[in-house]
Parts: sequence; structure tokens; C-alpha cells
Amino acid sequence: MSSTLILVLAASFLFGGMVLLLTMGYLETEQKRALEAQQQQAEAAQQPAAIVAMPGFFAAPHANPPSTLVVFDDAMVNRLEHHVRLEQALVAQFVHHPSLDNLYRHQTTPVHAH
Amino acid sequence: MHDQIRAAELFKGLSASRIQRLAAIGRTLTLRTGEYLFLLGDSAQYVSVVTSGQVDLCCPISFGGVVKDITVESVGPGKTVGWSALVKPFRFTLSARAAQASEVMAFARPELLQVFETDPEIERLVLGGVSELMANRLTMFQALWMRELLRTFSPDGPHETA
Repeated sequence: MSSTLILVLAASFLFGGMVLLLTMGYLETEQKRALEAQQQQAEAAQQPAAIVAMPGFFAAPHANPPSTLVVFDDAMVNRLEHHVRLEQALVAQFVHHPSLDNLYRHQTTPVHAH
Repeated sequence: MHDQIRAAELFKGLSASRIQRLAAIGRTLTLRTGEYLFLLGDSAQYVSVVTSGQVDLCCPISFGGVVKDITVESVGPGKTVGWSALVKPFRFTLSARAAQASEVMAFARPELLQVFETDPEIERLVLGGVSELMANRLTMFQALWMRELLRTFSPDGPHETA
């Protein structure tokens, strides 16, 4: 009788321990999932900034918007030609007297597509 | 026509008799405003000297599928257009369009080469003038390209060095 009682108690203890371990494991897994979800959200929030900060290969950070947004009208042609004329005027001295100073004179009117 | 040839930068330093020889092979072309003398990529058969008006040298630029000619240089009387006719591969690298009613004096390559063959001094002077034009164009575009390169890779762009 007492041996049966001991056996039942031992079995109950083992079963209770197993249930406790499973419960703790489940809780730990849920905590990990919640933590990972938080990290992913935080990374997702940072991603646009990282893309913006990523240096372009040919395009400088201050480059013009994509050409699809540019309306190539007569005003744009005038702006381009004005820019070319100014740039040519700035390098004209370099053509006749090549020097660093003449090459890198400040450009005052960058072309922007508005 | 003699005075126009004498005033042309390409024929600078030629004697009266040599100018006479060139006048014999030159032909006058009249251009209306907006009319093209040649297009980029065309076979270059004529070298021309602007005698009146103004001719724009243009380069086609494409934005969003729309292509328009942008004037990169304007030349007036005495200036040369179409020197590609004297340099291989004999293709125009820009288009030439009359900015106003203009006249040019055109010299066909075969006739010009005949003159060169019979009078090497004309050849020397003319090709010397073409070399100068080419060198100026090359230097100008080199400078423009260097500035553009700096502008692309430096956030500040070309800066004042003086």
C-alpha cells in the first residue's frame, strides 16, 4: 500500500515537473518571439534612413530628381543652354591658359529641374 | 567671296592667289532660321565657314523619352563648322542649325583634297587651323567634364581656388 502511494507520488512529481518544464519552455519561446518581433520592427523603422544614407554610385546626394519627373519643355532647354553657356564662359580661360584656378572656378548656377 | 575667305579663321594667313584657288571650289549655301546644315552622325562631306548670321552647334539630349537639341556653341561670321569632314571617320559629332537666317561657304572634301595635293602650303595652313579648332574643342570638353566629375562626386561641387 505504502509502496503504491510512493509510486503515485513519484509519478505525480515527475508529471508535475515535466508540465512545469514544458510551461517554462513555452513561456521562454514566446518571450523570444516577442523580442524578435520588436527587433524586426525597430530595424524596419530604421531601414528607410539607411537607404537614404547609402551613397549612390553615379548619383550624388544632391543630384536632380529622376528624369521621369522632369518636364522637358522649352524652359528646361533654356535652363540647360544657360548652364552650358555659363560653364563654357568659366572654362574659356582654361582653354587658352590651362591652370587649376581656371579649371575649378566656382559655378554659380547649378541646373535643377524644378 | 574672296573677302569672306580672307576673314575666315580656317584660312588665316593665305595669300591672295591661294584664296583665289579656294574661292573657285567654295559654294554658298543659304539657311533659313531653324534649318539644319547637318545632323549628328551624318556623313561629313563638307567643311563650312559661316559668312553671315549665326549657326548653333547642338547636341541632342534625352529626358523621359523626349529628345531635344541643346545648343553647346554658337558660331558667327568667320567661324568654321563641320571640320569633321577633314578628320576620320568623317562623321559629324554635333548638329548644326541656323539660329537666324544665315549663309555659309561650303567646301567639299574631294575638291579640298585636290587643292591640298597641288598646293601643300594651303594644306599645311588649313590643317593647322583644323588642329587648333580640335584642340580648343578637346580642351573645353575636358574642362567641362572635369568640373562635372567633381560636381558628381563632391557634395560641394567645383570650388573657388582663387
